[in-house]
Amino acid sequence: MINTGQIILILLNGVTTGMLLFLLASGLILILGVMGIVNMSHGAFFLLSGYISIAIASATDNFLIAVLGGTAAIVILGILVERFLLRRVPGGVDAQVLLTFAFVYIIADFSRGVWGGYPQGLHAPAILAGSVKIPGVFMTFPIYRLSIVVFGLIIAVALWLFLEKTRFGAIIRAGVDDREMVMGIGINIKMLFTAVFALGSLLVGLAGALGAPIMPVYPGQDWNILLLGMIVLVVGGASIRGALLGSLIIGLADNIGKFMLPQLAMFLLFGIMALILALKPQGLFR
Amino acid sequence: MAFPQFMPVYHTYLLTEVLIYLIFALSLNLLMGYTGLVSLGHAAFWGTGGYAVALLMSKGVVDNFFLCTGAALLASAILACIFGFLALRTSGVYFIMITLALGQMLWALAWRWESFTGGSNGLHGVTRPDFLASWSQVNSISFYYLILIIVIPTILLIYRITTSPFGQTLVGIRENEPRMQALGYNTWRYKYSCYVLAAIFGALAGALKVFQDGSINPGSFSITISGLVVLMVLTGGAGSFAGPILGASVVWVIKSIVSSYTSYWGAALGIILVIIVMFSPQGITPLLTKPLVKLNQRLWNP
Amino acid sequence: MEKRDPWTKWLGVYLAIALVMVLIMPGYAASASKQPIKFGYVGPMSGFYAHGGTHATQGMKLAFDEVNWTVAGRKIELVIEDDGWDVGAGIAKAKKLVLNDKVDIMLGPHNGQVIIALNDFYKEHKMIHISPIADDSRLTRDKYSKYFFRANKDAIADVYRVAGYLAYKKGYRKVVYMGADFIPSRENIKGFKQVFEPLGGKVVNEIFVPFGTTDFAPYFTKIDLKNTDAIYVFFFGGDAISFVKQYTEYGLKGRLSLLGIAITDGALIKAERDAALGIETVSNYCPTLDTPVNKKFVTAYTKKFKMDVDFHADLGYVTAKVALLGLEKVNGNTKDVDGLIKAMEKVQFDAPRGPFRFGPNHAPIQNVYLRVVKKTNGQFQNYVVETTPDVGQGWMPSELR
Repeated sequence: MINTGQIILILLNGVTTGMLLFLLASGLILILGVMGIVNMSHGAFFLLSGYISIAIASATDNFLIAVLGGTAAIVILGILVERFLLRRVPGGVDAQVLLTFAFVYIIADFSRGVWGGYPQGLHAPAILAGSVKIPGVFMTFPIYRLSIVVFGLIIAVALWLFLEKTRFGAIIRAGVDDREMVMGIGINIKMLFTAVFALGSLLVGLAGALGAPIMPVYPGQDWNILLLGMIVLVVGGASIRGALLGSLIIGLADNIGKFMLPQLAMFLLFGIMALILALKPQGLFR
Repeated sequence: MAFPQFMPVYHTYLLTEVLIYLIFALSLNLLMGYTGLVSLGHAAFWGTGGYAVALLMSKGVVDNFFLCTGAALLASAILACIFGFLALRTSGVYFIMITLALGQMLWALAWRWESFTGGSNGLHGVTRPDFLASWSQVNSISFYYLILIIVIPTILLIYRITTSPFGQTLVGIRENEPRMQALGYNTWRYKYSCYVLAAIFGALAGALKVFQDGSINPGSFSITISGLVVLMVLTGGAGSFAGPILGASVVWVIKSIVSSYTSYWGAALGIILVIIVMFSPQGITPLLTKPLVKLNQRLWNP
Repeated sequence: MEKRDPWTKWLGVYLAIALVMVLIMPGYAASASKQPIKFGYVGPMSGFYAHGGTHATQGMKLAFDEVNWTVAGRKIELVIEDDGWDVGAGIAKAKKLVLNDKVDIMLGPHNGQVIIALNDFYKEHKMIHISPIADDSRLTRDKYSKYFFRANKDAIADVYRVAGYLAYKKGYRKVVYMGADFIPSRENIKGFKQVFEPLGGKVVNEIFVPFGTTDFAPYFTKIDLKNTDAIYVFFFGGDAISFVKQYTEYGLKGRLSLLGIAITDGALIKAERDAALGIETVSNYCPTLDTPVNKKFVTAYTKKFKMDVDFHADLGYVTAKVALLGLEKVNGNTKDVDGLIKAMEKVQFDAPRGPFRFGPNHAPIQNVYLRVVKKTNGQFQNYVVETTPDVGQGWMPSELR
């Protein structure tokens, strides 16, 4: 017997989880789409951003500064990594993936060394704390999760505007389609890649900081995040639209699935992933 | 060749582990290095091989080393035949993803099906073969020799496969699949065969590991193991025969020995990898073989 | 000429490995000295459970500090190995400690599955192993070995039974269980039910949540508030933080009573903060326990290691203390293993967690505390509400005996 209140809650939670996933996955998808690299250290960047944001928040007690600080740190890291390491890798894509793989180990141990192995969390800022009542069910809904929807939409729109309406965005889109031609026009492909990697890092850094109140940071979380990002990538497809719609579908499927069949919770997401790969490998919304 | 009688027992143990991971890395290399199909779910076969042995032995169904190992190979081959149909519908990044998904699903299955697989606790009670009993069950030396006797012919077998026309065709598919198809090769069949072969050798490694440890748990299916073996292949150099051998040794030695000195062995591994990638992205092998080849040339062409 | 190339590669490579192994050997061989007493520990010093190993080994070191790292005239050495909580690595390292480092007593392994896998190995080598935490119930039952001692509760039959009793005493009659999805969790609710249900309570639903879940809403939504008095909960690490926060955020706090295991341990409270206020948990340890032994322990620990005490620290301390007290009784004679075992069986002392002694099958008898989270002086902490003494394996409340 399912009542309307429960349905509202499941749908609402599905959408908010989906938006969080979009934030989380967008960086991974951007870098893959433009540079052809699966950034294995995606989860590690997310984790690092979380740790840094929490550290800043404890020092300044200011959520906004913490988020900006965490994001900025990851952008800087991304630029340094791309400029001095990734770009200089004398091999192909395989070698670059190996490099990002290596970072996971380094960042994980570094984080553990600095902040210890304990899980940590961040608290939502006072204006976004608290919950609203849901009609028809005894539960309430946290305001911060609702605000994630807003953040996610803002970022999605901003990304879309950037890619569709700016010259730089046009260059990126052209670079995805035809690298040689872009180079032929005289565009500095190296700078393009650095910029894209920086943008991807910005997205994942922002996600890690904004996500910290919902997803606790601890060693091992980096792999969880990477896996989630990959699931979204597969289901939605390697585009911003794909990321958004894919995330929402996963968020909803996850919530509905866990509600109806909690015993299958562990299989759910990977089962969907395998199914989509078998039926429509390019993703649903490519 | 290292003779364990002259080494501390733990070193025999480590060497046995390296030999096992060597086979595992070589098996993945067939798929990854020679055919160009990167798998992030190769642990699926390591785990299947391992669980096949563990299930038979811990439930007391079969006690014989060879039968259990044979069952492991068979189970893995069957699984690969089924998975292969699904996985080979994709290529590139998507192949990576689907192998990952399949591996994770097996992990979830092993974790949840408690009555059968022992759940998160796993299965215990795998004992080493009886014919080694004269040396005592927990003596590592006799087991080391058993592993050696199995591993050396396996390495030779894999070597023959890679240098055979079959192996060369795989390389051709990696380099330019449409061209191979144009030449009349049924590339799908070659990839499928390779996938199943890689699964069988991977299962052999997994089965041997269970005899080494005496137990198994769902971690054997995890992305940690899949990632580790990919790391081994890439470190040594994918596509070369010696690459996985070197890679498995280096990665395993770092993990086992460095971890005794610091809990930050992960960072050590990562840093070494970065250095390798920046200076020798084909892996470590070219660093060794180039000087050896030069030496060889000079010896035979004075 | 081309033909010789592959051979060079192949043979050269294998020789290279052998060379590497031979070279590393001397620096790695065990020292031959027999005079000091060597303790070995293998457990998680890295990975998601890193704090377990860190605190346990620090607790051991504190116990050794108290005796100036000497017992019965022999110096103490502690060899620590990291297994990253991986069973395969744990087995390898545990073997190394016995075969290579030639430890006299194992203060570990931390991981119960490693212990079960090595049951025969330890018997063969007559190695006493005291585990800080391995609570797999088989270890003191069907897989019992006289060489094994456990320094903490059993997975089924003590703390969780007390929890069942306490739940009943609090007036809960219909309880829903929500816990992490792994075997110890299933044993937990089994133990809880062994007391709760004969007394008259009913566990109306058991929901197992996979590790790494950050979204409890779909599970919360399944709870039928009209037919449930309380929720009994078992989570660790990041999942515990998420659960506790969401218990408040989704409006369950105040509507549905909560009794928990492990969810407000150690540094978790720091992350949970206000969300943790008023939450009751059942545990063998409480950092604010008002006994001289505990106060001294906490002060010394926080001063030396610059971090808060965690129950793993007490576990490590007790593990080491059991070994130390046993060794004192036999004058440091590690050769007489059976004598040492008998001495350790009779060990009794006041640990930071309270009185500690062993019962049958080397399972401990100790206190169980009902704790609640309060905020004093701006700090969130657990405080003891009620103590249940003399809880050992197989404990039953007086009503059911």
